[in-house]
Amino acid sequence: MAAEPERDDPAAPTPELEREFLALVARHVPAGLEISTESTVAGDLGLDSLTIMELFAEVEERFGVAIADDRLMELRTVGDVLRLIAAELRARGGAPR
Amino acid sequence: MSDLTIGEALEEAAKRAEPTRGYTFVRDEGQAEPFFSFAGVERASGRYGGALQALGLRRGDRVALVLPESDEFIFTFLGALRAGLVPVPMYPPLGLGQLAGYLDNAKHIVGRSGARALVTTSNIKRLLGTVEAACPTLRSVVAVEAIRSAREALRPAKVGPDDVAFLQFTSGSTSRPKGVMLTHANIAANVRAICREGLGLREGDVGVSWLPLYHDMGLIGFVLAPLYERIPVALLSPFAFLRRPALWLRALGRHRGTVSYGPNFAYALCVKRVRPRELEGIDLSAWRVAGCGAEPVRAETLRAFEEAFSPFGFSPKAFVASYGLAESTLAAAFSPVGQGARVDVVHGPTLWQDGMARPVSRDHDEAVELVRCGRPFEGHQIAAFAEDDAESERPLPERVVGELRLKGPSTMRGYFDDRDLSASAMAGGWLRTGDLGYVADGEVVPCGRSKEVIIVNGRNFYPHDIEWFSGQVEGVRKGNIAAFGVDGPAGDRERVVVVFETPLMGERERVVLAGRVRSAVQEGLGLTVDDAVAVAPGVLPKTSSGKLQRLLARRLYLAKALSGRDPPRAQDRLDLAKELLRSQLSYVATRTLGQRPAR
Repeated sequence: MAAEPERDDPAAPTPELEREFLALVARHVPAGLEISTESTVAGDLGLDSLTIMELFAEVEERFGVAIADDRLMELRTVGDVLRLIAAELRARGGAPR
Repeated sequence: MSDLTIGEALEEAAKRAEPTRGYTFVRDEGQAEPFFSFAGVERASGRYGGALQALGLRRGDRVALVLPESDEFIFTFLGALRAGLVPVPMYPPLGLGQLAGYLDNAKHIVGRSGARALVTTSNIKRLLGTVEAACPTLRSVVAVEAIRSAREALRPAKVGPDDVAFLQFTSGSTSRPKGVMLTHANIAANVRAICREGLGLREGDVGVSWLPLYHDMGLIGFVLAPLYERIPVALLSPFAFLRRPALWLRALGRHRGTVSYGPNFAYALCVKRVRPRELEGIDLSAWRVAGCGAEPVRAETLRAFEEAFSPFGFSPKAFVASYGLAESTLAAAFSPVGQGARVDVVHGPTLWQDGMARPVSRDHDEAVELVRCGRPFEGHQIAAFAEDDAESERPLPERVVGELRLKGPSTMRGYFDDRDLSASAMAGGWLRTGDLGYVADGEVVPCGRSKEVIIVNGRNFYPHDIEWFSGQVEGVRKGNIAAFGVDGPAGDRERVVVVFETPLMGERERVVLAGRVRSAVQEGLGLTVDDAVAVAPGVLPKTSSGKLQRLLARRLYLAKALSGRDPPRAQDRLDLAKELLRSQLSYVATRTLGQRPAR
């Protein structure tokens, strides 16, 4: 487990992971739209269900982490997805690439 | 030939089909693909049916199914049928953060169907507490895991061809989901027409499908039809397909699939998302029927698909366009197999102004391409009627646009427990489809939904076309656009309104975007848009299965309730947390406090 002693919350995504994930998301939203971990994926960013599926496929390709279909209902914000990816990476015992 | 019930069809297939035939459940690539011969399906479904009977369910009881995994869905569905129960397929809660809307819809379907039991996974069961609390007829919510491990013997029920087999809930563009009642005879008749006449099924055919099984095309087309005809099928999860569309094409190649179906959007998704390297070594040349239906087929989508995938052996001759609706079991007409998509090229203004489909050459400036969906199946009839022809007395001549109406052995028994709605679906013995279209050379050519057509200066415009052109503008959310007409101030002509979703919030950006939408429609259709309205994502009303509700959007617009409408973003995490909690609490309450008997 890639624990980072300087962080309070060991479950928090690393800044690198956050940056990379936001970059993936940015490819699906119109230029000029601000993206933060607080943005809701379907609401603020306007991603429709097909685009969300595409994004998750990219997450799987990039981070090697699959987001289970039955977790989707619980995910609303960019931060929710990030935390899930971080948790999956930790569970797998690998550090984010 | 006598009609077999679905249960009898399964027993016959188990007895007579080669043991290599049945359902293959395609998992993630690299994983084993479990295979069940029809005999294996008969055994498994027998155990599931026995377990349902052991719950105290009796003949004719409705049982709702919320099962995302294809194998469990099929075993429970067939088991319920053989136990004499009436299954009610429902879609699983899988939208991103849309629990409240999902639960609302689930309550409606469970309530309307009067289901006594609901079978789901233990994960989803956690979320369904409020459904159980809100539906007094529902006696138990059962986790499929318990059913899977049950060892109760099935006591087969005596079921006849005229008994209701299952309820197919469909969501219209104007109303809440309605429960279509289909009998075993409906299924047998439609399946026979589809397989023998429509597909010309032959030895060696293999079906491949990613279509959801809680929807008619997936369930009837790729679970029930193969059972009656004893052909092997490979089934993928719809979510796997949506994530990685290449999996569909790869499965077609691997299984030498010959018959596969999808709505127009599935073909467009492949063009957009499949990369050539994902198809390395894949051969699609066995694919002889690439069916399109369920939503308007666009000729340009099919051309793009052909261009992208003919290098992998795909033949454009495989395209088959079909027409049908859940109220008529599944399909009513197929274009001839082996000829590819055929279009009727007509003069746009004459079509819109006069409701006449006048053929013109393809390079005519005002040419419009409409996809021909073939002749109705034997014993079935399709004709266009004037909307006010309440008794269907005067079928319109060829090439005159009217409401398409159907007649024949595939027509539903009615909507469950709703006499008024069932009566209003019929006109003098014909089923009203609400679709506009015409007949040309005996073939049906659909062109839109009649209630939604916008008439400007005597010209008819179809919302699909206006929305398609609006969706080409960058920054507009494709598929989240509603075009409709409203009465002008003097009632003289309809004003054309386009409401589109965009994540852009800035006032200036939105004004610019609205201007671009206007020009796109002007250039594409020669139609002036009177009002183009930008709204936040999620504001436009949709059915929970994702179909846009144009007429509802129109009502909200007129009530000036659209821009003030709460998009999902206004509903914060707290609401979600509350809804989750409520759901789980009422589940606990019904279980442990004994507010209602567990069974």
